[in-house]
Amino acid sequence: MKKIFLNIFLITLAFSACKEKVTIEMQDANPLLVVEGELTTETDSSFVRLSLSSNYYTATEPTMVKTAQVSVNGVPFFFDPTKNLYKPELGYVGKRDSTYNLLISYDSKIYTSTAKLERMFRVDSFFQTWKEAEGFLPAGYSVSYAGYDDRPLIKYTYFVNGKVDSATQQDSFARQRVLWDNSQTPANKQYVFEVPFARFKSGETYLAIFRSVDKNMYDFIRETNSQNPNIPGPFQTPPTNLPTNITGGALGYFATYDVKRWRYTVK
Amino acid sequence: MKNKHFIALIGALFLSFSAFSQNIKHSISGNITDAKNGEELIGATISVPTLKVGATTNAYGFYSLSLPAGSYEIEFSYVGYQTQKKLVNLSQDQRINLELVESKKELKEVLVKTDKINADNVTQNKMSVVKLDAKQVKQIPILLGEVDIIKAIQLLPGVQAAGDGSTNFIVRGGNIDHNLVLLDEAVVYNPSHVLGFFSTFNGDAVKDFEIYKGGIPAQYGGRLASVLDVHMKDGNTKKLGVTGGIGILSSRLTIEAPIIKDKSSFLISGRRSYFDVFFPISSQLSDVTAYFGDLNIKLNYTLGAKDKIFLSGYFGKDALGFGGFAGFGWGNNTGTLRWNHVFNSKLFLNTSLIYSRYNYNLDFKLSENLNFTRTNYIDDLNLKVDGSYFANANSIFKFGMKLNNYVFLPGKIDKITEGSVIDPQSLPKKKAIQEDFYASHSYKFGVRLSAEYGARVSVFSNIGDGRSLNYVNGTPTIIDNGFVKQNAFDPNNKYTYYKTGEIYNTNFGFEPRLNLSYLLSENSSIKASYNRMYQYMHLIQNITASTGQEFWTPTDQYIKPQQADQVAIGYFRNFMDNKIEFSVETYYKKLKNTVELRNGADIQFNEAIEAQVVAGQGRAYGVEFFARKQSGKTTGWIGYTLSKSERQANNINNNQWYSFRFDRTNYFTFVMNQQINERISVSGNFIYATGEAFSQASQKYTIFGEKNPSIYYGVRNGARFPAYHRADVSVTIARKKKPGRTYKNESDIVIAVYNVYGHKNAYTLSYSSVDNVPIIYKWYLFTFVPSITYNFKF
Repeated sequence: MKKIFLNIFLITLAFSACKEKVTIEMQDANPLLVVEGELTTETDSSFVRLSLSSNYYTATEPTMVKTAQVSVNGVPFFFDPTKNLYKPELGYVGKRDSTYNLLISYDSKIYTSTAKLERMFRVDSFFQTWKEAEGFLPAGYSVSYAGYDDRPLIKYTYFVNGKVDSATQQDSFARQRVLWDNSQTPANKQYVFEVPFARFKSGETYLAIFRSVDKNMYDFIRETNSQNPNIPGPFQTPPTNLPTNITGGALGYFATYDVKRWRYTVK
Repeated sequence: MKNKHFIALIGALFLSFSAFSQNIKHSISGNITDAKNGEELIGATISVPTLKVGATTNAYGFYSLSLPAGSYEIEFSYVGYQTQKKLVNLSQDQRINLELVESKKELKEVLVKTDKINADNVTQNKMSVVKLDAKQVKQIPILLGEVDIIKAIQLLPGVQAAGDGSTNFIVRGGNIDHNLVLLDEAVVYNPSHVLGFFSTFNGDAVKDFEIYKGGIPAQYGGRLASVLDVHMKDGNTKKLGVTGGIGILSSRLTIEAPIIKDKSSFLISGRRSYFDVFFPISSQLSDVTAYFGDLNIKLNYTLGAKDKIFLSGYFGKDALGFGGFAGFGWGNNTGTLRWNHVFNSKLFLNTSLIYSRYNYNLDFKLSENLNFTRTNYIDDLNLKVDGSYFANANSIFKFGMKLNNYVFLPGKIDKITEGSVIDPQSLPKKKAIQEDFYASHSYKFGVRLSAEYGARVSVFSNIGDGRSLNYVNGTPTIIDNGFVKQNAFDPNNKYTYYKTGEIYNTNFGFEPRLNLSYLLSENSSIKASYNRMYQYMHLIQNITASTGQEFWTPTDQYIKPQQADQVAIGYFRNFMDNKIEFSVETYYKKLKNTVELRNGADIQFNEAIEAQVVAGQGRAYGVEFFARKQSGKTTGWIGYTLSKSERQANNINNNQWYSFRFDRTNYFTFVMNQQINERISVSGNFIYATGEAFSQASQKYTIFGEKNPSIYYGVRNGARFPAYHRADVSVTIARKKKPGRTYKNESDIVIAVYNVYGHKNAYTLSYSSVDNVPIIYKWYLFTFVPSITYNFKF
């Protein structure tokens, strides 16, 4: 949907659009605590990062918060200065269908959050199919997966996909993410899903990372996707601040994921 | 309680009727038409100067004036037409049908000078109303040469465009969906073509239109802010007429002719765009298809002296496609079957059966096994009866009722190809019925004071078959950590099902209306008005461009009817023997239960639409200045509005009032047409407006590996776009004619330039960064856009 409106916008602008720098009177505000928390079913991947927001119109790097006290379900997270992260002891792993409570104490204020770690659906296999050029897509191999979802409706999935450009595993592909719920995919039977908007060549490696998320996180990611630095014109949604599940006046999110990763090399 | 009010009103009207009817003598009545083509003239004036009384033709061209027995010189006049005087010896009821001749024909003899111009602006008990005819609109230079009535009304005070080139309009602080747009009485749900750059109204098929910004009479209801009442031409009853035009973007052709001369005629008018043929030139647009087309048809038949029937229809279609993988479209279809019946010289009745359908679709074809098409529509079928009783020269009663049946399809998904994994599914239809009843009485208390008072009662009911969602604690939304979120469904009873015809929710609205005018002198008056409006249909829209993906949803047990109360007061003054009209109006409007999207609303194929919105409130106030000259070689107007419009909703902007997005403090317009000679006229307009309000980024932060920082906004709509201004000019050159020779054909060429001095008006703004420091760019669309259109008529 977003791509459609982007295309509309491009067409509209293409009639005769141009851009020019303008000066608009700026507003300022006090910095807020920013929480970025992930708790996953992958061993030693859980962390909490704390920082302060900065004036939008300055080039300053965010100030990291290093002196907070952080815990999840009573398990302390310790500040790791090499990564600027708060992390639990080694071997920590999240459990499916569990609820996690985050507690942060910073600058005499308490911030809390609660999230449920939802279970992911099953992914059985990946395969490739040759496709001729179609619409904006060039000819190439499409990649599909066979999935099986026996979770009760409605559950949510956050799906990051992209090409692997080095031997090192990557799991962050800017804007290459898909978010959906399983109300429109078959339940309790195997189905095939073709990865959208992508064609591959032989030898390229495709990486898929599936994360189950709860409804709040689903809403948060959707809002993050739709929030862009364009100020609303006719084709953009009214600007709104991103939702947060952190109480106490902080920004950011505490997310819980059941994670599944797949690598598939196109033959 | 509200019903008691209405019964009391009816009683008062009846008593008034009994009292005033004692003085009835004799009536003259009839229809006023254009001598050239037989078109009914709406708003023509019939006056008796010696008695200082008069009447105007109604929306169907009918008038009635009751006078004591005697001899009178009666004047029949209409703007742009020669005034006719007729001596009438009134000893019994008389029917006088009259044809008026256009003044333009006699321009050379400067007959305009001898024409008396009415002081309707001052004397009529109407305020916040502007009427334009299609001829006036055609003189206004418009984007890319397309004659567009909505672009014309955006040049009036109190009305503004929702963006550069947009046909969406805002009236006195209302939302886009607060405007009731009628085409031959049928509601047009989306009056836009091509993402809102063009309106659905074909200038060749339109006779005239009025826009009510306030003081809305009781016969109108259903929207909060305004009524745009557009009348299609009836069709030439005198002779075959063909008009058309060839423009840069589209061409149009209209054929009208008598079926039986002076008794029956037809009109058919079509328009089709072809700008998509240029898309292959651009690599960016080569896979894009885009077009619009529309067709207006109308038939009328005069059954006898007392009966006339009309059948009119509009069929419009828009389609946009992107490389075969996605596309969407929309279309309005309307049909009106109308019967005018004159019971006697005092009682006139119009009965209309009206159908309106607005449908829109969205297609996605990402691959052979991932594709779907989604369709939505609104069906609006209504029966409407409007009556007028012309008791005497000082007293007119209006009454009527309207029965509506609505069917909404919120969304239906089907596979495009069999292999698609998307399961076909449909959201349940929503059905509703609405009954409206109204009555009003216009009365002149002597020669100075006039009043029109009345009320409308609306009853809106949701009916089965269907179902509604149930939420925990019965509320669709909850407040969670300061954010409005969807509440959980009731785990024990998610749905309530309704049987066919079962009424499961009803809302009532009592809508009093009042217009007062007091004549200070022959050329000046003060007027005041009050109206309350209810709106039961809501546009759920997260963008302001018309993409056809907007969702209309009815009032139900969760979404309350929107309500507006408006008071206005104005001073009206004419100068130079009524050649120049002037008015200044001030208004205050209060809005209740406005439908605002909550943060993070998901409106795509979502049955829980009530959980995506919150109820807000609004207020708007301002002062509007308007000066207009409608006759002579130089015509045009100047308008200026100083206004404020605000909104408030819980958990938005810390519960504080904030500027409405289209709050524009200053709005100035200037429109002028100069007839140079018989062949050439020059037109121009200028507009200046305060920039629209927007929420400015205040803080930034980055989480979850985002490339772009997330934004924390400060005060909602606390900043402003740069001011908007532009000037447009056009020259119309008519075909050269030799003196003394009669021509069957007319043609002209219109050369126009939109935004002649090329001001870069911000269409939208965007952030970018240099050395990690964000900077703001404005994107602009239309700078110095020339166009040429060839028009013909024979």
